[in-house]
Amino acid sequence: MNHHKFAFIICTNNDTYLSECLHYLESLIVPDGYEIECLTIRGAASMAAGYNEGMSATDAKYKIYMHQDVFIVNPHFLKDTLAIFSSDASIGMIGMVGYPVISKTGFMWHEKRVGANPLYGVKHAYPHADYTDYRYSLNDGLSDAALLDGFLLMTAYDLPWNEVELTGWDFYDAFQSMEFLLHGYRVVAPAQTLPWCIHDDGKWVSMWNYNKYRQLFLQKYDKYLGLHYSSIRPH
Amino acid sequence: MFHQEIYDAEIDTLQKDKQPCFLLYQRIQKHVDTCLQASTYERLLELLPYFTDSQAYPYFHHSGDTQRIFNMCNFLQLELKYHKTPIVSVAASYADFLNLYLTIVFALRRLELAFSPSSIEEAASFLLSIPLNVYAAHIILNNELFENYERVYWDLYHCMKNIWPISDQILWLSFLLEKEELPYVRQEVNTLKELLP
Repeated sequence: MNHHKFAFIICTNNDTYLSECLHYLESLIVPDGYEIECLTIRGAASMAAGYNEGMSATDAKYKIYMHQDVFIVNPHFLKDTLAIFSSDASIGMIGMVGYPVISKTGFMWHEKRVGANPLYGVKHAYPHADYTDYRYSLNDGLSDAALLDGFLLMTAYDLPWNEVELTGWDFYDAFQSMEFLLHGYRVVAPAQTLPWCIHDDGKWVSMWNYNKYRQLFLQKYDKYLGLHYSSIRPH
Repeated sequence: MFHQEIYDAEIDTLQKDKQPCFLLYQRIQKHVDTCLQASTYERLLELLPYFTDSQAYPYFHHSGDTQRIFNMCNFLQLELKYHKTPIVSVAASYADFLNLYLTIVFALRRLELAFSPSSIEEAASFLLSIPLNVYAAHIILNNELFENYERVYWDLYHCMKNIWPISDQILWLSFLLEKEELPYVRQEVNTLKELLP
């Protein structure tokens, strides 16, 4: 395991998105002594299967699993996330948007969210985004969550993605969040006074197969529904 | 429990609609392909009822691809009305169109975020290589994820200054002034107005 390496793992099926995604990755400032690699997975059978393939193909300690339509716009993203992981070894996974309570409906966004300002898809006025002087500090805030949104998930430990049950493109994030929590790790979302990423999903929520995996989640984690993260993570 | 039932019903509807929705989507794609291949751009406007009709399929407004077709129809109407070269004229298929649309969005975003001179230069070079007009740019900007309108409107203005006619430059900056009153932009508009014949 290389403790001074970041791996970006991206399942892709669209070169236009991927190329733009990589453009932003190339602009990131890499902390001194660290290296990065980008693994793009084409033709994955599912998100979980693609992410497992990426996980096994790299020796990087820090893995950033992200959608091809996510553009990291905080140039200090790597340094900032490293500071978060370094602040507490029990932090297992970082997301940009999190939910402290598990929704009884299975729709994570039915609960109050933490992390990013409402900047993902919601236009806001001043101050305009300008990253020239922006630096994240732990004092800005770091919220624990029960579930993290999967458009970007960064891990410091490897837990396999559930590719046996999750054969599609939904709910891998909720399942993985639960696994990290149940293994005793914290899953967290930093407060972002400026957005760290743009999730350019064209405002499209692809729900066609969502219900199948939602039902699976509701069954599998039935006893945790409606609970706060603090009641789930073993201490 | 009440909310749970509503959401379950919504999901059930979505599941039932899956097949007819895809069939309809395929029909729209085919129509776009046909029109772009034959350069019959006016016929693309026949797609508008798919979005605006009272019986229109509601989920088309939640789909990135279909919403982008709707945006295209909206700016195409204006392009045809004001005799501009339709931006879609550089696309030969539905796939081409989506690729073009996304690349415009990405280029505008590079102007907005201004991360590096090479990033801006690449974006500007692309935007200058296509028949981008004020109508398409304005509609795209206002229907995609942007937030620093001041920067992107102002920078695109400078990028297209030698391409767009003065009346279009004034219109473009007026779009920005509608969003926020900026004295330097107002001053620029006044200067441009003096250049009008």
